[in-house]
Parts: sequence; C-alpha cells; structure tokens
Amino acid sequence: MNKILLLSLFVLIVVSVFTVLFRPEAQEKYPLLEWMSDTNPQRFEQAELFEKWLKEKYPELSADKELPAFGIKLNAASNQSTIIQAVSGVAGDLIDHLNVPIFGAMGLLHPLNEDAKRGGYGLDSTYPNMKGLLTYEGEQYGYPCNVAVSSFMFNLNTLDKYDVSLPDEDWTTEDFEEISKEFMERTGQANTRRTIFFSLSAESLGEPFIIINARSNGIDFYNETLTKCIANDERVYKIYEQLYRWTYVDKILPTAAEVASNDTETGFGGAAFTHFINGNYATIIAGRWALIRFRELAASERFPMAMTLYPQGPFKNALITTRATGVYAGTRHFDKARYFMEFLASKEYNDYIIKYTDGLPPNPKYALDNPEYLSPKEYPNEGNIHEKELEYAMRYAIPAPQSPYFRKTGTGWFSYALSKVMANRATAKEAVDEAVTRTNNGIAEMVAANDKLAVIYDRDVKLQKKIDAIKATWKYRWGRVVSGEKIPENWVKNPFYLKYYAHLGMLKGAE
Amino acid sequence: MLKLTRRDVREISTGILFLLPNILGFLAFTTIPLAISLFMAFTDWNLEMHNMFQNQELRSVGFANFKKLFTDPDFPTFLGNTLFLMLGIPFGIAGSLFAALLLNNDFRCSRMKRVYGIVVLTVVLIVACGMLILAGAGSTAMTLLICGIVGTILVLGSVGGQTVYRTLFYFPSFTAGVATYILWKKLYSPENGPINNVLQPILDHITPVAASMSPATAHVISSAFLIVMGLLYAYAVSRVIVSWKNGETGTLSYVIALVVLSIPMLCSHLWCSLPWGGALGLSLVTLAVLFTLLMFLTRREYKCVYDYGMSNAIVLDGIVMVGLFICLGLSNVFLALPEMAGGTDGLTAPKWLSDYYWAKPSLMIMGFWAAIGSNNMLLYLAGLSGVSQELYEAADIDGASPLQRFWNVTWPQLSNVTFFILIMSIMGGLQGGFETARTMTKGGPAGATTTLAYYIYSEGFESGRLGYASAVAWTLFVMVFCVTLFNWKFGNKYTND
Repeated sequence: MNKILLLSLFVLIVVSVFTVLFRPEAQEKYPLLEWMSDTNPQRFEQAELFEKWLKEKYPELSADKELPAFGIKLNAASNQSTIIQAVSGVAGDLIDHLNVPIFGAMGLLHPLNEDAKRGGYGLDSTYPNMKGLLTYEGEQYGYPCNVAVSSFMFNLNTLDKYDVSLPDEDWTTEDFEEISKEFMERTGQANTRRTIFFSLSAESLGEPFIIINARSNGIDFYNETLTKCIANDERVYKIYEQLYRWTYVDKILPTAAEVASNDTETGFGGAAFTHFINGNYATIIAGRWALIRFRELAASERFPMAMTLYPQGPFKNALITTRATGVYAGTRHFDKARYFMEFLASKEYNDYIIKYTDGLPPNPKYALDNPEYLSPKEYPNEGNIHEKELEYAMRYAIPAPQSPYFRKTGTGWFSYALSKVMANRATAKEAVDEAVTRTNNGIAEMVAANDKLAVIYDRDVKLQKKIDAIKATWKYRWGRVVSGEKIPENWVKNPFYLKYYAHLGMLKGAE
Repeated sequence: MLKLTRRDVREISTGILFLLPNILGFLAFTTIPLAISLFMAFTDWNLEMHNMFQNQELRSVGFANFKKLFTDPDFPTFLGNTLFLMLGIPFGIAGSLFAALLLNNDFRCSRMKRVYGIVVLTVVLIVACGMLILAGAGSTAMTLLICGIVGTILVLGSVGGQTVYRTLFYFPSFTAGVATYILWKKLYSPENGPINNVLQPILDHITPVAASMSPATAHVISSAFLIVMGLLYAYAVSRVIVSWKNGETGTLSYVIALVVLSIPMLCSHLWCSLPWGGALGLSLVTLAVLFTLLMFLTRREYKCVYDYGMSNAIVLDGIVMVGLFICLGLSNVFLALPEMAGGTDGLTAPKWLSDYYWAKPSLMIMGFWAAIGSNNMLLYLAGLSGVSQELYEAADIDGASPLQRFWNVTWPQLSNVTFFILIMSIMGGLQGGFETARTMTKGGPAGATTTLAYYIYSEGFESGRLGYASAVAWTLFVMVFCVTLFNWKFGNKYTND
C-alpha cells in the first residue's frame, strides 16, 4: 500500500514538473505581458506591431537585437471575468475595459498621471471630454485602445430602394418618426411577416438613445455633482413613451419577437449587421469599428454608406465610449507595461487603427487632416463615416452618465425600466421613477459603506446646494435660460452639464 | 478500550494519506467556502470595496442583508418566478410515470409490419426532404419531416423494442443542457419557429369563428369553464374527504391536500375576469373549510397515521391544482376571445420567450419535456420492476380493468418512489432556472424568467455584492432545508398508501 502511495506521489510530482517546464510561457524566447482584451482578431496583429515598435524604438532594452525585450500574450476575457480575475489578484498585466474609472475606483488599476505625462499618453493626447472615461478623482487610470462615437449608420442602397432620402444632420425625433413611417409603408409589409425595418428595435436603441435625447432637451440622469439621480422628469418619461409607441402603436420599430424571429447570430456585430448588409435594416447604430465587418465583403457586394447624429432635440450631442487599457495594480511588470501604454499613443498604433478601422484612433492628431483617414481610396463606399465620426468626437461627444457614488456593474436600471415599459409591466413614469429610486438607494448604500467616499460625497452635496441656489436665480424664456448668476466651472462634475451650461453661457471660470 | 498496534496506526495513516487529496479538496472547495459564505451573509462584502487592492474595512451588518432581501421589490417577483416554474413539477412527474409505464412494455411487432413501416417511412422522409430542398414548401414539408421523424421512432421501436425507446426518452438527460436550450430557442422563434409554424395556421382558421362569437356566447363559455373549475374542485375535495374517512389519508395529508386544492380558488378572487368568479371560489373554499371543521367534530370510520397518503395529497392534488388554474385561465381567455380575434392581427401565436407573460410557461414546457425522460423515468422503471406480479394476478382474477390495475396496484406500490421524486424535484426546482435564464432569456423580458438562482449569480458576480448574494443563497438554503426536513419526516414510509 505504501509503495502505491509513494508511486502515486512520485507520478504527481513528475507530471507537475513537466507541466511547469512545458507550459506555453516557458517555451517563449522572451518574456510576455498578458493583455486581457476582447476577441477581435486584430488584437493579434496589434500585439505583433507592439513588439516591432518596441524593438525599433527601444533597441537598448533587448540583449538580442533580433528579438524584442518582451512581447504581448493575448487573453480574451469578458468584462465580467476580467473583474473577477482582477479582484482575485490573478488578472493580466494589461486590462482592457469599457469603464476604466470603475476599475480605478476599485483600486484595480495602477495610477498613471506621472507616467502618462512622461510617456506622452496623457489626456491632452486624446479627445476632449475623455476625462470622465479615463480618470477617477483626478487620477488617470487608462488610455484608449480605440474610441467610438456610435451614431446612425445608413445603407444608402436600402434607402434608394424604397425611395427614402438620407435624413439631415439636424433631424429630430419627429423627423425620425416621419421617415420611419414613410419607409415602412414603402416596404409594403402591412399584411405579411415583417423582415425589413428602418431602424433597430427599441431595446437595441436602448439607453444611448434615451440619454442622448434627454440631454438634447437639457436633462441628464445625474445632477451637476453626480450625487443624485434626477431622471424622474417629464422629458425622460416622454422618450420611454415614444419608444413604446413607435414599437407597438405606430409599428415602425421591430418588436422583440420580430428581432428574435430574424435572429441569424452570424459574424462580428451579430444579426443586426447581417440584416444591414442584406438591406433588411436601413440603419444601425455603429461607428467606424463596424467597417471591420463590412470590409470583409467582396468589392462587388459593398454598398454606399453614410452617417448622421442620433435624431434629437435642440442641444446636439453624442455619446463617446472607449475601450481603454490600464495597467493592473497587481502586475509585477509595471516597468514593461508602461511601454505598451506609450505605444497606444504612438503614430504606428494610431496608423494601424486608422488603416484597419478598429474605431477612432486614440490620438486624434493622427486622423485630423489625414486623407488616408478621411477618405480611404480603396473604400469609397464608406462615404462620410470617417469624417463624421471624428467630427462628432471632437464637437458633440460626451461620456455616458456615470456617478462615482453608484457603480453600474450589475443591472442597468434604466434598461430594465425600458424592458418593463416594453413588456407593459409599468408606465414610463412608474418604470423610470423606480429606476431613479433604485439608483439613489444604491448611492446611499455605497456612501454609507465607504468612509472615504462619504467625505467626497458630503463635499459634493454641499456644492450641489450652492449650484441649486444659483440655478434658482435663473430666468427662463421659451424654456431657455436668459439671465441669472453663472456657475463656477470647477463645481460641476457632470461632463454633460459642463458642456451644456457652457453652451448656454451660464458657466464661469473656476472659483 | 480499543488498543491500536503500530501496524494499525500505519494502516490508518496510509488510508488517511490516500483520502487526503479528497478531504483537502472537499475542505477547500466545499466546507470552507460554505463557512465563508455564511460569514459573508452578515457583512457588507462588496467586490468594489473589499478586494485585495482596497483596504476598506469589512463591516458586520447583522441581519441587514436579510432585511433588505425581504423588503427588496425584486425578491418576491423572483421567488414567484421560481415557484411558478415549479408548477410544472406534478406534470413532469406524471409524464415520467407515463413514459415509464409505456417503456415497461415490449413494442416489437411482426416482420411484415416492420417491412411495411420501413417502406412507408422512407417514402415520407424522402418526400419531406425533397420538398424542403427543391420546392421550399416551408411548413408543409416541415410537418411531413416531423411526421417522418415520428415514424422513424415508431419503426425503430417496432424493430428494437423497448431498449430503443428507453434510449430515446433518456436523450434529454445526457444531451448538453446549453445545446438543448439553443434548440428550444429556435423552436420558440415567434415568426418562423416550427411550433408557431404549426400553431399559426390553426389560429388563422379559428380567428373568424372567434371574431364572430357574440359577447354573450363568450360569457357563457367563460362561465362554463368556471363551473367546470368549481365542479372539479368539489369533486377533488369530496375524493379527499372520502379518502380521509376511509382511513386512506391521514389528517395532515388531508389538510395539505385541501390547501393545495384551494390555492386556485382563492386566486380566482384576484384573477377571474367574471365578476362572480371570485365569489364562487371563496364560497366553495369556505364550504370546504366548514365541512372539514364539521368532520373533525365527528368520528372517522377508519383511522390511520396523520401523515398517511402524503404523496397522493401533493402529487395528485398538485395536478388537479394546475388543472384548476388552467380552467381559470381558459375562462379569462374565452371572455376576451372575441375582442382578441377581432383585433387587426387576429389571433396570433404566442411570442414565447419574447413575451413577458409567455416566457415562464415557455420554460415550463421545456422543463416538462426534459422531465419526462429524465432520471425520474429511470426511478419509476426501477420501481415498476419491483412491483410484485402476484398483485397484478390477483387484480386480474378480481376482473380489474387496466385503469383499475394502475389505480389500485401500480400507483400505491410506487408511492414511495413518487414521494422521493417529488421532493427531489421541489429541491431542484428551488435551485433551478439558472442555465435556462442565462442561455435563453438573460432573465428577461423585464425579469420574467429571473429565478432565485439567477438572482444570486447576478448579485454576486455581476453586481459584486457578495454579502447580499450570500444572504439570498442562505435564504434559498433554508427553503431547501425545510423541504428536506419534510422529506425526512414523511418520505419513504408508506409503500401502500
């Protein structure tokens, strides 16, 4: 018996040693940093490009001139597995995420302020209004891998087929309704199973549509200091009601059942992109990144495209998002990881993004006035997409509402509210009010549980009272502020209100 | 006192060393996490604040997480969803028993019949595939194809006997869950799924008839269903009373049966569209309660143990309960039918997973399909093999019909198996719904298919509120534990009840 036990132990030890010796990492000729990113196949080329860039720009780092000092190993991880691995201390050295400030607030990312200045990847080397997407409490925690200002992208062939003209840049929700009705009528599907639609479903338009429209009418989900959710407002209710009406009364948007029936689940971008290519959707919500899929088509199958802003109210705005990379707080290789961050702001990387359309390049200076970016010769069918998205990013874009006192890692309450409205489970008012209550309860819980946060929160609540007092002096005509005291710029934390009040002329310098 | 020799000690140590990997694994992955989760349930553990990079102090919150749970508007909804999905359990049990009874027979037929069967089947399959490929004759070819597949199964059964059927029926159990869920998602596709492809033409034929129905007719049919519901309730209660009087059901089992049967009648007060429906339900329940009280004051002819007949009380009356709910639902549907059919779209097939009200029944139907050929069927098959043939012979001598043979021999002999299956199904039901919700609906639409298991996952791993998620998990544990206690107390005792 003892012999069997010892033999088992011996076998286990030998297998363990072999596993360690022959694991993929041990086979590499140079050390590798782990980059937790998405499943986009372009990441592999980007990793190779980094190694080439490192070898050329910092040859002194490598002992062997043929090899880079270190390389990148990709680890495709979902947002959820990234967060679980990160809090458990086993995440990769570099982490991609759509919400870097949350990771920063959770202490999972390395602060980068000083190094970003030295390495040339600070906030000044990216788009305006990116602060809210890359920083938390004044500290930078990431730099964009790519940027997107997803807007309405049109298949012009589909519009031509049904003799509907491309909407203006300034189109409103009323225009959207009118054009959609016209389009749906011309498809002649009144008495048949519908497979052709003007736009995506209400659920797919979702929160971005609601946010952009609410903001265009002067209201955000959060107040100026991000201490309270204030979306329980007529202007927000109206958007929810509109989405319901468009789907089930006017029948201009596909219902959830129609979306499920037409589900093809094929390729990058999913069913919506397939339908867009096939002319079943005249428009989708996308950015340059979608061109990765459309460029896969044979030249004869490509179709002309164009882009406009979301249909909205008087204050034109768009949502900017970024898949940003940060350095994991638990990495033992910050000295190496910082080179990768520098690489993201380099010409080589930005040119790659420009060439292969993986979103907007992180550093806009490489795109502005660059003919290769603005009108790629090989793809004339892409029309104004490149120019427009860049313009939106520079001129209209604001990050989605995000309060540091309520971290949206779980259920999106405003999307949940939309699903309740669409399922006839609640009126728009009931559903939105519930979402607001849940968010404000979340803020209260978060602040109560976190002493450090409570100090900042109290400070901001006091500021909010001052802002409210100033706003009480404002005089309105036709719903627009015409006179009153101005708010000091540094009191306002909400990026939307910073831009909106500046637009109204109600913002003054820091106090 | 037992004295251990050096050799004994050495052998015990060797044994422990062999067991050590398993013990360590059990400690590391079961016992310790279990203890930690219990601890977590009383703290404000949140991944955002409490991780290896944040030094935020972990606070004890006492029962705050549990208090929050019971005041959370989502908890009753998600518990309700879980319980709703469990309504399919009695049908699942009945289905698996029916499958087991069928599979207990031999289906082989004569050689000539087999040959004819194979020829007919081959023609049907070729025509169906040809139509699908060449003519694109959508639903007709699909119907033929389904007929062909059913035919294949029948022919295979006639050739291979019960082994073929047993294997086929057990298929859902050894097929990967996610694969079957995706398959069902396709089946449920609202516009082009095979289910609605069959259902919609039928509804199209019914629509003009339903639309031309006068409100008075609709009222009468709706009332008829309510009356059927009342009669069914009265009959089921009278059966239980007789059974109690005859000493075939214990007092506790009787009370449980009465409660189970009365739930739909009480719900009719809330849900019935006919104004007098609620009053009917309440009066019948009141009558049953009064009669029970009266009976308790009189003496029974035959007495038995108080928990005798528990499985009958739960399973049979559970099936009747679902039947009562169906009557209630049909009553409401028929009342609204002319209006529904007269709408612009006429009668439309359900939107299944995309519809708030149909999403749960869709999952329930799928669960029913999976339950028929599950381990429950195997347990029943094993149980059937244990039923003494002498009992059947005695029944035959007494001139019993097949139904009487089942009712008086098979069913009582299987009652301990039934009870075991019921308890395991309830426990599984309370913990279930995660895979289906995650794969098919993401808990939607509007939380319609979010069960407690999915809620725990979402709170723990999406929101990062580990303390709260642990509190939900331990609340669920208490529920499962209560069911286990019930099983402990009443299970596996009376084979002949």
